[in-house]
Amino acid sequence: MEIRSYLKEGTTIFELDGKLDVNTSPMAQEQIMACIVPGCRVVIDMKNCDYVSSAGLRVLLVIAKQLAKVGGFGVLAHVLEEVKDVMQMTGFDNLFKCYDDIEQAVSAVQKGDRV
Amino acid sequence: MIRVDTYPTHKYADFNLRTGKPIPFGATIVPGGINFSVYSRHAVSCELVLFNKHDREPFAVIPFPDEFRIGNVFTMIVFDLDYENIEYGFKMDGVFNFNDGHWFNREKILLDPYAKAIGGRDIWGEEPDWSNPYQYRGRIAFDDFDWGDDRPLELPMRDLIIYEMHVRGFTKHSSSGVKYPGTFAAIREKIPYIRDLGVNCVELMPIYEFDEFENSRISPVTKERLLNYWGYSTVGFFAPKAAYAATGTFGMQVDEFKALVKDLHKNGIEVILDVVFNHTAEGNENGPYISFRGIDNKTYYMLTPEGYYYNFSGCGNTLNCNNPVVRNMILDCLRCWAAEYHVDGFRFDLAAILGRNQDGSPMHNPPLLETLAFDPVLGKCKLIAEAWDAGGLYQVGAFPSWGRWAEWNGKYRDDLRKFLKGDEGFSGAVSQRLSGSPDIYNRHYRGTCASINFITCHDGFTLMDLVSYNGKHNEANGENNNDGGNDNHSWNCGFEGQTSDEGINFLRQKQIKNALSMLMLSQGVPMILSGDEFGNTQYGNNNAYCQDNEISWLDWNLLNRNYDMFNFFKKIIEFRKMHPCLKSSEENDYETHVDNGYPRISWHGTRAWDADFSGTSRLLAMLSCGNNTGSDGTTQYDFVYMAMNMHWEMHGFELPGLPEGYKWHVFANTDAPAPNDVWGAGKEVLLDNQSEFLVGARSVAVLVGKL
Repeated sequence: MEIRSYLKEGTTIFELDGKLDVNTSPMAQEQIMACIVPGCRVVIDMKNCDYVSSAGLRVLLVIAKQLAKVGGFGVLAHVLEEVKDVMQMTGFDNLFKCYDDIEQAVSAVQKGDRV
Repeated sequence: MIRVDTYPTHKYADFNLRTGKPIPFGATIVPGGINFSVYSRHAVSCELVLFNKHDREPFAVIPFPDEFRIGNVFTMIVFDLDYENIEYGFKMDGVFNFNDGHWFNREKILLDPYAKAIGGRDIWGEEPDWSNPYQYRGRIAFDDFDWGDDRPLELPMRDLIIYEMHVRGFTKHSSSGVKYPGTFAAIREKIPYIRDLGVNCVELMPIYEFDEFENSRISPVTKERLLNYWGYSTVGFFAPKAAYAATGTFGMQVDEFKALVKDLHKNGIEVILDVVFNHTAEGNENGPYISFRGIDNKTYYMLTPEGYYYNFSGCGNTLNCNNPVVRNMILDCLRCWAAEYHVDGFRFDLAAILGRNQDGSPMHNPPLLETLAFDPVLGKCKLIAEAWDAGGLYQVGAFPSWGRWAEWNGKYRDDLRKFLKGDEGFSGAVSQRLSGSPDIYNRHYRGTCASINFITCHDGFTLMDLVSYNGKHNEANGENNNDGGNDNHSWNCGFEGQTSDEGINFLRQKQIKNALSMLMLSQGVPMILSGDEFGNTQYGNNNAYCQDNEISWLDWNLLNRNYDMFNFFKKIIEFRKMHPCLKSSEENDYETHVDNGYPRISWHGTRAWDADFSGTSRLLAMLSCGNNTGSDGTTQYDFVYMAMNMHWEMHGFELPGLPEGYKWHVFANTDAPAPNDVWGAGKEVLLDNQSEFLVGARSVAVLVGKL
């Protein structure tokens, strides 16, 4: 998996490219968690993430909990349908709001969406 | 703080190791690695076998060093494993001596009895590669889950309305309208329906990992492949069946099942698991090595003095439930489902076996049953026994209970069925069944809620088939119609099987409503078979254990066709909830009187206060009385009267008198065509004639007395 990040209007966008599983999730967790500070704004762009494993779901959960704990804001964007289904069926669907494009996602976190 | 035991002490090939912790058994994620722990009293050595997911050949075989064995437990931490993508098993070495009961074979790769997730049958019905030496493959499961504030609901037993279902059959039919048919996720999609029906507890037929290909064969009649569809044959007690999860191919069945439980709880619905501890899928002497047989045959199975398997289960072997190690395994298992999965209760298949000693003799105070009754973690779980086994031990009413165990009341089913079809002389028996079977369940000791009342369950006819077939039609099972019970006490209402005869169909609908009225107005805990509410049929098959097809799957098209029936079910379930007098308990004993002088339950006939319990009677009326406190805090007397005429002619029933101001209102009359067959609870219609009610042939009327 590759993770790229960039800033857009004060929001950090993380693009996850590849599978988020037990091998890649520690790296994803490390990179994203480093940005989570009070008031932070984060969008995780998942358009190139075609698989999220159990371990991957747990990383997303940890990130969501950390955002809530420190008072940051984050949403997901471009979640593929099969990934969304897996999140829904395994009960990990209410962690983040999901948006279909980056503009909407950025505007949502700027308005203060957390979950 | 970094713990010192997060560092390895040993090395084997490229693997870093450390002695593990013996408890808990199984494979547990620990900092830096996986703790493996497995019991065997009689093995002399053990190896851990590691595979990449789905691979036929292992990538490592790591012997447990001698110093890693503590007592009879082999335990080891292996560091730096890709625990999401591995599968593991054990090889055990020891004596092979049939007469002594030892079956060790160091070539066999064995499933961990404590495996929390199992691969190998990830997709239902996908033919396995039988040449693969390791068929059912232990996987590492994440045991964390974001439960929020969920916990088991702890609904009082007297309020429970159980709905029995098969996970796959509930939604597999193309008419179910769900995204992933036949899965845990699909049940979640149906929660609004279950809520609408009004039941508050789903009882799931076995969800422990089993092999649907066990004994699979081609039906000589239909040429279809027959599978072990029901799944009463456990491969792994701790693992939810992967193929029941839409996410099973990703190994996420644990999370998917937990998400289902959480969502059901959120909707006020409990979850009871049908658990099979009486035997395992390893069969008899000719069965395969899966796990227990190769790990410690003599511990896990009841053996004859010559070393053969006792067969009290009718399935080849009998789990040695009252061996202390096996007893602990069962306890660990149930605790896991209660604590990790938030399951609300258990129904134990062939539970009489759990009370047999290691030599097969029934025990007076079986330690396993006592342990479960008093276990702290299971303290609020429902424990329900199928109180018989295939070895002839029949304990309905006599199952050791310690005030905790309830039973499937087989006598209720049989007596109600005979009464329903018009057999004479059953009004006395039915009066016992309707009042919680005090003749069976010594009420001072066990209470009415010891009785799980049912007329149909997965085993036998559906309710529609009970009124459509005189005999079973199991030809598709490929055993010349010799399988399945013959004591169905069913009646086809005049024609064998489906018919377009309107009169017969009306009578069938009526019989179904009659049955449900009696069930819902009975003291005790009612259980409905899913699909009965819309007339689901198995085409006369009363033993559909091997039918993974339209015979078993619920046909949701029938919901539209039989919507009146569904409406009747829904209304009468709601009615039960609104009348506490139908749900007495030990504190609210049915045999006492209400302060207005009326008995809590009284029996009547065509003349009030004069029930005919004679050998020719087919009529009975029941009056239940209690207090009902309204939302405004005022208390009123609550009278529920049910007249049951199972005779083929109409009869007038004299109505019992009511206190001043109270009047009889009709709630249901199964003789009337819909929509006049049932009125909403609270919307009952005042009767013109307050002294007598004409009850049609083979009909039930339910009245309420209110101000």
